[in-house]
Amino acid sequence: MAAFRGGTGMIHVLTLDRWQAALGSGGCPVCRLAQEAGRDFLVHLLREGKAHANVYKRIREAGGFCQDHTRWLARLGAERLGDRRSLARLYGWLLDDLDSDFIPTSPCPACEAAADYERASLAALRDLLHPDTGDADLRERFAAGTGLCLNHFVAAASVIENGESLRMVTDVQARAWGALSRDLKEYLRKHDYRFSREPKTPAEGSSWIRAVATISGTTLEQFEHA
Amino acid sequence: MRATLKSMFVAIAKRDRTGRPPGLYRPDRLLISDFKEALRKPCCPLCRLLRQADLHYLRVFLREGKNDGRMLLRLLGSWGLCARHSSALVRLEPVERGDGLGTGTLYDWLLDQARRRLADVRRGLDADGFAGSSLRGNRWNSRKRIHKLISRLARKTPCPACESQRQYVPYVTEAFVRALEPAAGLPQIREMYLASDGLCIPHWQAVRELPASGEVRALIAAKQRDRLAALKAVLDVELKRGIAEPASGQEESGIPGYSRILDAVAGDTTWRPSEGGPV
Repeated sequence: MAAFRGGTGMIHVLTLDRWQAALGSGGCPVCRLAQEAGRDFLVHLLREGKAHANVYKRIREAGGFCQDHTRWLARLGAERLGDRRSLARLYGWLLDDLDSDFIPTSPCPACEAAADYERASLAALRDLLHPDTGDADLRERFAAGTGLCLNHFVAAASVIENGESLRMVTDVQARAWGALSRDLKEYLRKHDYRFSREPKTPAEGSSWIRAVATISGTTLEQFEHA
Repeated sequence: MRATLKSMFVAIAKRDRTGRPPGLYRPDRLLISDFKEALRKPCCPLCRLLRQADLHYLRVFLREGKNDGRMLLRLLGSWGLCARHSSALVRLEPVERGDGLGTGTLYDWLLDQARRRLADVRRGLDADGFAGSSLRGNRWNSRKRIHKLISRLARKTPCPACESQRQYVPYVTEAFVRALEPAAGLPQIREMYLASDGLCIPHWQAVRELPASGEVRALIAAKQRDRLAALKAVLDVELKRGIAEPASGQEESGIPGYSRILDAVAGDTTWRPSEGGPV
């Protein structure tokens, strides 16, 4: 598998592909990548990971998964695997171990996997956006995209060391938030009885939800599954 | 008159302190009524109460809470609600208000604040060229200044809905343990608890940390042991079904014992539309 030199290290083609897919899907790409990493962790766990003692030990130490990932787990178990037995076995083991003195000693493993991937994605973004050693195609895609959510913008701006890259990220962010703000203000204006007959565009109609997603740091898909 | 009232309250407080063992007084009546309601229904009663409290908080927040000046300042510190609560807010808004206007107005304001701070960052970058200076000292100062401007966009305080729940959890769990004490004079709560699904594992762990009489500890331990045994029995049935058997849609939507196992292990304290309430 090919790899190219980034600003601070090697970027795998797979990482580049994932970034390109995330940029094409709308909303904050880092939120999407982190969400997918958490979900992938659960899928791989159900398929094969539970057979590994270390994986099981981590889950056991955490006392299972957090509420959000438990919901995902229930949904994935039925939808993607068509097999509820793996999940039943996993939770059977967990219940066997949960005695009255059990205290969880580590956080949800799926949250940890998502947080690790989030950090790695931001480091990859830093390298991919580097003007000399980054990826020109991805820079273009990023420049044409909808920017990052508030949380990930702050996190990205903190890890980006190159001035030109930082300039680019803030420019993209200013343009994305400007467009969102225009849509939202139009949406709110058209609630006024004097303008309520003016039709709302689809972008204006979804603007209040996109604003919540941008500020709170979540994907629109997550709202559907809340 | 004021002196008489004060002495009366002091006398009552002293009587409470001396007449009963510490911490074993009767919890508030509204909460007892809520406990009874929750214990009649499936799943962990404390999770149910906390979900209801979550829904109540979001409803009040939507109707009037977010317009309060102090709340706006808090929301500026936390940049609105967390991802989990804002998801719930987006689902609740059309049901409660119908149009996204309340949430939209709030987040329009927050977006304006974020844009203003972002404009400061960009002005800072314009002013001295972030990477342009050849003087190391100046560049470091510039970098520090830019990062300080960026940090104005970071969350400084926790989500107010999470904070409200964090404060409510010990109140509810302590009240639950007190209600089980014989000194509380609420045998009905004990009976209902024994007949219920019991507590989820996180709440069981939380309750175990609280001071309680030996009798209540034994009651909770016995009930929760039975609960674990019942959950394991459901899992055994699942395991015997066979590995290739697909999940039936009917079972998935009907929230059978299987989903309850997941909730019993993780707890389920955040309101969501499928739980009930206004949707």
